[in-house]
Amino acid sequence: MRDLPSDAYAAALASLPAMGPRRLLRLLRAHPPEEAWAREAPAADPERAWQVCTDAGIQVVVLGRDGYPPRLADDPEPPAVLFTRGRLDCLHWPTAAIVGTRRCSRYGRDVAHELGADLAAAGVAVVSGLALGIDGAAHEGALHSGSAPPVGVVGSGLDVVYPRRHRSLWQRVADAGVLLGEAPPGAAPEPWRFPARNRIIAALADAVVVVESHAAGGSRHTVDAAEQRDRPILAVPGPVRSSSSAGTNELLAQGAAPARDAGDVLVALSLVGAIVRDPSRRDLDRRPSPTGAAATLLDAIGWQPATMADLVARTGLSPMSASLAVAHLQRDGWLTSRGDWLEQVVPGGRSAER
Amino acid sequence: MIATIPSSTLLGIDGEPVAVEVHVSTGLPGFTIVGLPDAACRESRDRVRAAWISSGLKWPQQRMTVNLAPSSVRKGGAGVDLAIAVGLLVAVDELPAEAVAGCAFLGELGLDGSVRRVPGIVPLVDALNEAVVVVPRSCVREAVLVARHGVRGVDSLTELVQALRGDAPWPDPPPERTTRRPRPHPDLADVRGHHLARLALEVSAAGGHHLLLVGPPGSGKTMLARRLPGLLPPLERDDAVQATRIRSAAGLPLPPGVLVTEVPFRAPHHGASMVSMIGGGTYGMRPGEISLAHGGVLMLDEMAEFPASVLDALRQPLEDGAVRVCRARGTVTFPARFLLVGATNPCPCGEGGPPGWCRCSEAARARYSRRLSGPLLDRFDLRVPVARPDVGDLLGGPPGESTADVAARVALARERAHARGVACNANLPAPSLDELAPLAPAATLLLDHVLRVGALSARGLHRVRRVARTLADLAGAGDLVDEEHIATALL
Repeated sequence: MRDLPSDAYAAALASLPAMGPRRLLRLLRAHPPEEAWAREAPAADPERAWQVCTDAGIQVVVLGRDGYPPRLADDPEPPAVLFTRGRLDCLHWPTAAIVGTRRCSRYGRDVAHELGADLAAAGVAVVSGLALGIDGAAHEGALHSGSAPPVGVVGSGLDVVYPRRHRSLWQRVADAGVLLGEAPPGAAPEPWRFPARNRIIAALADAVVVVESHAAGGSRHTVDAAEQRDRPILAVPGPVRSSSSAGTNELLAQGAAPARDAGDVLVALSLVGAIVRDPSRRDLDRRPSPTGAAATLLDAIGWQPATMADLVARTGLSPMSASLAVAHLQRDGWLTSRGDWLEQVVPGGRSAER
Repeated sequence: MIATIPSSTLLGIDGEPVAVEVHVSTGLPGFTIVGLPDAACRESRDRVRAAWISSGLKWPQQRMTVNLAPSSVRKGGAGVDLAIAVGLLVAVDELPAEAVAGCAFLGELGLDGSVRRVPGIVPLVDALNEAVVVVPRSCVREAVLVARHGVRGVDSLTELVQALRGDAPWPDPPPERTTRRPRPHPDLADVRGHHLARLALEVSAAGGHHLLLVGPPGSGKTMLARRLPGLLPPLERDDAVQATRIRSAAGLPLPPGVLVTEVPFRAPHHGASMVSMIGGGTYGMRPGEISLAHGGVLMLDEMAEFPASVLDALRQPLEDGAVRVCRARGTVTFPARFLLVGATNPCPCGEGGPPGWCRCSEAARARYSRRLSGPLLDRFDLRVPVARPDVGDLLGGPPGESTADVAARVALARERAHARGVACNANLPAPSLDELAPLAPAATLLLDHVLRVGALSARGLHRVRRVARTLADLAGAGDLVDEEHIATALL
């Protein structure tokens, strides 16, 4: 057998079938990796697992050795072996996790994008799970403004892109910041891995912002983990009738701090003053004010998505004059459409187009 | 002795003349049929023999051969039974040859000697050029529709023999059926709320634009679609004859006045097979649902549940207004010009709702929307969301405009389209849109903006302009297409 580094044995141990995070942690706390390997799989060859890591450009960091992130080392449930791509020193930046549902509204997507962009610009590394919906939008935002590096925490192996639609996002996050996870290369995105992944997100973040979540959403795991670790929890307020804001509004009712914009998050991180709000964005609205039918229609839509059929029923306008009003409002930037749904555009807000 | 009797067989919705040649000679007694008969046709042998004996005639103990010419055409069905029987009668000298000169015969024989109706009488008679056609008595009214022949109806072989011998007069044609009023199409006045969908129905009827209704279950998609045929103009003579031939060939009952004038409405279940939709089949070439909807409305409820292959097979007929069904035994063209109305749920759970609202995952929604292929969706000029109507509208809201009022506007708009040389605006050729649907300045500006922000493709542009043309025609707005018409068409 060739001389292998100690990390190789750790990686091989993590890749053994039926090796969960807790068991691995117990094992590696009790024994050095070589010894643990000899106990667990004396007949097998650790070289293959190691070869997979080096081929895929995946680094292996073991708890208690050089390079292991201090934030995780102090954690009650640290991952014993961490697989990473990108620069692990990104974790020296102040961090904030932006999490939320995969089934988000346009409002949630836009807010996540905006928070991601503004926090990154203010020098806060955005930690998120690279899932569809809120997670993806937050990282897109962070990459967009590109000051602080993004930190992506994933539930599958680093060579198993999940969701596949985010292949390009994975690559860009790994290039600009760091991608990490405790699942060995080749590990499928099994459901149990995601709550485990969420605890790492909570451990890495100085504050957790939930942008949108349904009443019984996966964001709850991240919030629980953050509570155990005494991290501040913020929630973005949403319409009380929107099912995708039910979870966040519940958090606010339980005492989470409201996150209206990046400034609120910076206050929670005690970084206040690092960002100056740009007055031109919120207070100067250069859009021509709607009049007549367009004004009636804008009143009728409010801040909830509605279909054209809803609007015609609500306003009593004829379908044709309502269509004309909608066309004008869209042209002037007051309304935006997604499929059959129309929504009012937030004044000055940036929209996270997909 | 030899006798030749004219008859015809059905190929698709067209009749094909067949000469029934009967040869009787001495030899080992026997009865054979040659000339590419299918199973039902081959069984003629037994039916003719039984009917013959039941009619009190003496079955000849001779060698009898029946040839169905031309032998290259496959003969299906039992329609030549009567011709075979008459040929035998002539060949064994039961009837003089002069008695049947210039007569063609169509009909199936029962074992008791009765003459039964056969499907497709209209095209079958149309294929014949003889002066007199003898058909089952119950088919006389259909046969008369062709109006080129003297039509005689008989109920039994005995009756026929007596009439041909001159022993009895030809039986009277059946009395005209007391015309039951056809069940009228449901009225648009019953529809409460649904302002946008009502407009969409009107535009669809006026411009011949295919319509896709998207909404949760129970929102009234089917109810709305059923009101579309009532808005369409009644079938013109040519279309009515075509529709009658198609129904006749499919063996479906014809209306009391025989000629199909009512706008057809077909709503096949989503379990429909390719052959049932397009046409074809093992026994003869039957017209499919798209042909039965010719000149009318084909509704596909739960469109996403139809097999993808069936939906994609609709694309070519939608383009050509006809479908060519090719089989090893022959090729048949069925007319299939219809207005397509699709109804589908917005997502697998059916509830839809704003983004982030319903419980379907993003991936499930994407999978669901992929079931309808892009090229097929492109055929729909109109896509309309249908929401559950307001409670206030359902209970005691004002009744809507009636079908008759809307149909009058539709008829006017269609007249304007006719003046442009097309049947409806959906057929306006793209190159002549600038000339036939000129834009008002504000409309140009609006289109310019939408194209610039990438909300509309070039193909979509033509669609929008055609729909806007129809909207302007409905409003009686004159030649120019205005901004509001474009705005509405953009939805």
